[in-house]
Amino acid sequence: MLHLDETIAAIASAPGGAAEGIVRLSGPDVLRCVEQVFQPQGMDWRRLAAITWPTAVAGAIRLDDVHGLLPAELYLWPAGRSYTGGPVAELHTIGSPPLLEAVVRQCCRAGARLAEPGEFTLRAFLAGRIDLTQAEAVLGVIDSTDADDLDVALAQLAGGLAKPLDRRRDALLDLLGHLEAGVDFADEDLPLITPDELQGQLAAAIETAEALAQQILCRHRSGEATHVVLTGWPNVSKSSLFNALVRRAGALVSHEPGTTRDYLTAEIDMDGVRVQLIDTAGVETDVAGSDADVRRQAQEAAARETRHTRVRVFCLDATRPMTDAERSELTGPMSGERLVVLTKVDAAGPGERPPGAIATSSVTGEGIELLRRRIGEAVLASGTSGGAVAATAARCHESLGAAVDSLRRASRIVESRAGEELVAVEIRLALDELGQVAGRVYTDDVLDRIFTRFCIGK
Amino acid sequence: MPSPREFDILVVGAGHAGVEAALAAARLGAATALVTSRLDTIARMSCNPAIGGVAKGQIVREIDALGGAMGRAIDRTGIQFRMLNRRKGPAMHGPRAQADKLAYHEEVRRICQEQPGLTLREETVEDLLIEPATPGGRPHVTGVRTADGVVYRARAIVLATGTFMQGVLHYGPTQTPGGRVGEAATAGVSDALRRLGLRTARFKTGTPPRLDGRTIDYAKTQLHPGDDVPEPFSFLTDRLDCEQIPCYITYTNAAVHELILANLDRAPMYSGQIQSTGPRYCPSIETKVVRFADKDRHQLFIEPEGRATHEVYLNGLSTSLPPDVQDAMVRLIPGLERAAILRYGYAIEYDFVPPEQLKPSLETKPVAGLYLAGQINGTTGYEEAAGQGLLAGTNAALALRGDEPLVLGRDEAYLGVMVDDLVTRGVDEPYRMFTSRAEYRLRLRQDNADRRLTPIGDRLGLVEPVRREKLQRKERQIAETMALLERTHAGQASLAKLLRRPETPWSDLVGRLPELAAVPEEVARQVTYDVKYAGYLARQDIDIARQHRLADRRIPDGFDFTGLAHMRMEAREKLARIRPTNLAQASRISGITPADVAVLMVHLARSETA
Repeated sequence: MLHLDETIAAIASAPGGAAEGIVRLSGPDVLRCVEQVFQPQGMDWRRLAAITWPTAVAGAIRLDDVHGLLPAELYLWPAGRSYTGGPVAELHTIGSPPLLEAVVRQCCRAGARLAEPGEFTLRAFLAGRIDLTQAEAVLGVIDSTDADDLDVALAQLAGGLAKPLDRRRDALLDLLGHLEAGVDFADEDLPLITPDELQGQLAAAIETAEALAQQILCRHRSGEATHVVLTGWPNVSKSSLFNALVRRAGALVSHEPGTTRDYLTAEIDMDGVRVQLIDTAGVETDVAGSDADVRRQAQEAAARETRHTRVRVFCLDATRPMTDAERSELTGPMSGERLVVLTKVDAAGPGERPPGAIATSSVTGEGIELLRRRIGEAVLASGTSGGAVAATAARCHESLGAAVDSLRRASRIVESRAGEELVAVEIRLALDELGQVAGRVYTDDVLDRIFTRFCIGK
Repeated sequence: MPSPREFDILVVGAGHAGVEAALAAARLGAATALVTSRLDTIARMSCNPAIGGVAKGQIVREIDALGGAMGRAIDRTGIQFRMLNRRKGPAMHGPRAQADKLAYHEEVRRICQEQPGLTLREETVEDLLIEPATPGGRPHVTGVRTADGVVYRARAIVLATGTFMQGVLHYGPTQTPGGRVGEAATAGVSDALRRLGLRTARFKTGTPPRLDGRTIDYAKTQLHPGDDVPEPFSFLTDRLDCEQIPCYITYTNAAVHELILANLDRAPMYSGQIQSTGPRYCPSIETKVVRFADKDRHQLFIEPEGRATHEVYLNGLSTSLPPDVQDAMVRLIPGLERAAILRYGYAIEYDFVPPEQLKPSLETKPVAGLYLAGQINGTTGYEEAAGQGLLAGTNAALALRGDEPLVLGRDEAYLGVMVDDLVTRGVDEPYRMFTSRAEYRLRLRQDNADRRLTPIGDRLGLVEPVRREKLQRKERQIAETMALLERTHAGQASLAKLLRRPETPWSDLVGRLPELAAVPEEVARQVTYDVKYAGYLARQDIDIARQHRLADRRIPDGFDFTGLAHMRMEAREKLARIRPTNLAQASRISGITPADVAVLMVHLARSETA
């Protein structure tokens, strides 16, 4: 479990040799640890212990197993003035990895422990110094594998997402206030907000949320389209689903050469994310019959695609009960992202529905839009780009999408004059989603997210 | 035979809070005494002669669903009934009634006198008797001492003293001590509370002048009648047959506003004489004129105070300007040119106890067995007071039985929202209920208060058997009707599906399936609302479930918030002051961020595994 009252230490400079190296410590025993490795010049520890402002002091590193002193500077931040909220120290010295490791080891002997990845950032978040997107962005910087990722991470760190969102949230809160006043002060002749004003505000909020969602996606357009494969047993209506998804996207469908039972592919734009959508032959374990060879070939091709794929869409026929094979497929191990889809819900009665399954019908179009969005999010989350950045992007995109949905519903309710209280419900839901993006609103999964992301709690 | 001055529970103050507290405690079997300075003023309406309104009406229905007296009393003594917000959705409907003030008081006194286990006493309480804390415990109340030096013993005390603690009345520059016009204030109790370590602060509220109805020219005003088919407040009342009396509407004008502005230096709120905070939403006329300077008129309601009196209440003209200004002001208003003022409006300042010093049971944190309810907790309104009274009396009695307190959730009742707001967020102005305070208001409707709360009341023993039986019958009919709608199809869709469409009224279904005509109206209404709101309710369920998961993470009694490592100092101080009982409550404290809750959760998880 996480121990916030422990003092943590880590090398904070880039790995490999460099002109300058940094060891960072945070926690209540920072001074006691630093005393063991550092000698200040012209300043005594009593005065350093009493600082109320960030302070820098020159001096030297003194290591138990190294003869002689190495020039260094100590930067000290008292509690309440630091990045993590608690006392923080940084030792800046020569950027030699063995030397820096020795400094950390000696700090640890004095009571510190090695920091977990991202732990300083976690402390900063918990101390209220940075919001959730910023915390995640720091992880993105740590994780980033290429320059694009780094750009996204740095933009988030600067509050790129949180600021426009906060402004929009404030505007929506005002709107809600007006709406509520009309409801609560029924007998007073208050100047009420007109439906037109309401629609104008809602449209502006939708625009902001969509623009931000788009911005996230643009940053994530990578060169290669991610493979998304529809899988499932034969006759679960995969091809109709494929067609429904593709038709919406207006792409060309091509039969792969070779066999009629091979797979179909189409490259489409799935809610701003480029995706190679693949319709495989049905999964079937017991291959028999006259065209067994053809089928086997087709299934080998399907298995190949499935292995290489990042996102799998597992289709279940809603008009019949799940088979044991499907059940074991659902509970079995898997790699990458998987979405579960129920097909033919237009023709289905009530029955067992796996939790989280997306109900669709290629006949009525039900669930197709939702599935498109989920695929887009799954692609983002599948780690097409650097892990933390992609995960943050997927999370924010999901919340923004849900907010837009609520605002659209609000707008339709205003149009149908069904009642301000229903408009208010939708605005509240939208506010909640927007708040979750920047961690302004508390949800219990925020913590789960933090703890998994920060490798803590293992 | 026990001593005549020894009880299980003593309720001090017999206003709307005290009455419900005493009745609830007695219903739960506690030997209860209701002590008031004047038995002639039990459940007196010190301000407007009305019960209910938007959000307040929902509270009255909830009180009734838990067996309280307010709904029954107003049904028997109301003189005009209106369902407010009828043009809005069902969750916004709020019943409101004009009361015959005197009849209301007499009806509530009758209910109190007939309640087994409840004793009425006319005494002025001056001090609280306390048994000092045992090591590791809290001091405990043991009784009260009256102004005459008489001692009453009790195992628990509910204080419901309203505006009487250190009350001061303002008529322009003139100040007189008093708890209400014509009645003395009390001084000792708030001293006693402070001695016990409770903080007190001051609020202000006000009333408008009362006029002689015979001097009003109603031809110059608008008629404001009651509903053609009045709806009762109590789930036990089947229908209302009384003859209704209309109200009237008139308006202020530029001349009135000029007069007020010219005399602002004599208005205690503006001269600096009153420093306390008054309510923002039912402000005095002088505040309205200053704050909404661009409005050229303000609406006034002329409301009768009873059947047998000519006294009328001028709702909307609350003021503490001196009497000569009130006389001149009233005469500038259409219809009131020759109106005679019977009682002048005044402002009253009083002590209240900032309610974050209470537990969710309404027991004070520092003193065991001491409960507070009503305006003493910084609220305003008869309904808010009565609701707290019912809960405080219930919890005092439950504690004596050794049972868990009744703490209603924000998704269960307006009463739950109110208590949670009070103890978690405190108040910075007199607290009044609004529907917008209730995030789950679509399910907290006035029409379903019985379905939400009567089963809870029944489990505790708070409600009469007749309520349970009535509700069970209704629930059975609702279920049968729902099943019928599900299995009857009109073309492709079931009738239930048809009803879900906003444009389909219940009468459409009756056209398609004539046997539905036999469904009682209140059953049809429940089915219709449930079906129409179903989608929204389901979406809110996700949030409710999330809040419940957070609420399940309990914070143990005596948890050391001040020693939380790595938490912002401000957050630590807040948590230590409010002492939330679970993480959901902690997350609702203003100024507590998600990050603070995260830290708290980390510490809790650790103390659980340790």
